[in-house]
Amino acid sequence: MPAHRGLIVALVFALSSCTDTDMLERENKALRQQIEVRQAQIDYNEKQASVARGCDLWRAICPDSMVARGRAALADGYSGSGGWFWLSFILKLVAIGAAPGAFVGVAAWLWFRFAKPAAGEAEAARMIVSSAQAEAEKAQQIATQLRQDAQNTAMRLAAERKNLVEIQHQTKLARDELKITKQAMDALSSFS
Amino acid sequence: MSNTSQIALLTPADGETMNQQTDKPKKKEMNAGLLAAHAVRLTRMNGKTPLQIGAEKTKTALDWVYRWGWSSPSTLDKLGGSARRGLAARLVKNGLLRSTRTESGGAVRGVPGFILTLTETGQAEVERFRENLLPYQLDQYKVRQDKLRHDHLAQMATARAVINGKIAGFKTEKELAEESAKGVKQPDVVWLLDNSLLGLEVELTGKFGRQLDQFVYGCVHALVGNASQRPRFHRIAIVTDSPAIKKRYEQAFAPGAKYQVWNKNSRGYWVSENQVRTVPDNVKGRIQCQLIED
Repeated sequence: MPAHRGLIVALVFALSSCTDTDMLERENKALRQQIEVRQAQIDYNEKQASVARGCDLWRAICPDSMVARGRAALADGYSGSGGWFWLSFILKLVAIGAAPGAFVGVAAWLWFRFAKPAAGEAEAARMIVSSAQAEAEKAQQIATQLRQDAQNTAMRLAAERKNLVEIQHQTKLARDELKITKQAMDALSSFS
Repeated sequence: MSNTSQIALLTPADGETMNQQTDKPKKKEMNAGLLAAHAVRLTRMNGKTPLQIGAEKTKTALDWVYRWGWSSPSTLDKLGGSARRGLAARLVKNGLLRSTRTESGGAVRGVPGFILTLTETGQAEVERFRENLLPYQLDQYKVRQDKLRHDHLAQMATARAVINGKIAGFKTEKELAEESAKGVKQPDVVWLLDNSLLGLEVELTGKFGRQLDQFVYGCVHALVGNASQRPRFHRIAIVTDSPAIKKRYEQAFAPGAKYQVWNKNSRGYWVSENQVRTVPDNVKGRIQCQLIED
């Protein structure tokens, strides 16, 4: 860049000594315009080179249409060390981290929004179910015990009923025997 | 003839006529009393005519002799139920019964002086209305004189029990023998109580040895039965007039008392099987020994 400027100044001095002033001014003006154009072109190339360098650093993820000019500028000798370098590099990193970050964020949001409360509710429900199961088992044990007690009671009642029937039968037999005895004694009094 | 017609025959009109003829109030009262007596008599006869009642008594007496084989005048008169005696004499007179003097009648207490057996006419008359026939021995001299007192006791007691309504019916030894297998020991008579059978054994002489064993076996078997035969009686009463015999039988029938089983061998002799049995507990209280005063 300094080399180009020196060349232009020497050219201006050379031209000013051999032409008239107007012409020199016009030329000077034209040259100044050229210098400005050239400077803008140099700034543009430097910017493109910085962007390309930032995009290509560590991992090249930018499209070719975006960095082709910058890469060409780098090849032409541009340093690519402007502020655009960091900007493009940071933006690239952001672009790289955006998808997983979004995924992680959405996942986290979903987890906090739905999964975590659902897990709590599920835990609570599991505890309720576990408690209900324990209650049910207890109730089942009580029912089994009651059923066993009822069965034992029924068996005891059946046995007692059987005993009662047997006692009634024996009583009836004894009564019948007594009745027969009385009848026999009464009839045998006919021998007297 | 109905009660009404019988009463109508004894019309007060006759009495009134007599009263009119005699004009004595006393006669009028007698006729009213006579009328009442007839009414009572008809009530007692259950509306039957005297002829019908006489025929029933005849039938009952002849059937009794047929079932027992023989009877005594006192038994038949008692069976007739009338206060007046003479039923037996009337049946003898009518040729339905034959009266025969006994060997020890009058000399031995409890032996009737005469026994009554059926004539052929009497047997025919009985068999005319009976449903089941029994073998009847017409020969009065084949009646065992040594058992007269024994049988007379059984008959008199049975007649009293029937008349007093203490038994619903009875079966004699002959009848039981017809219904049982041959050789089965039969009691002297079976009395039918309301729902039970009481076998009666009149024992006036003691039994010993084989006869006692067989007697015990027969009684126990009749009460308990076995696999092939149901018990035949609910109770057995052994009636005797001897305290010694009563004691002997009480010991013989005590639960746990021993007795032997006897059978006839191929030559017809009684032999013991050397098989000692005991009186079972369940006959306790079902064999009753009764002492009577004849």
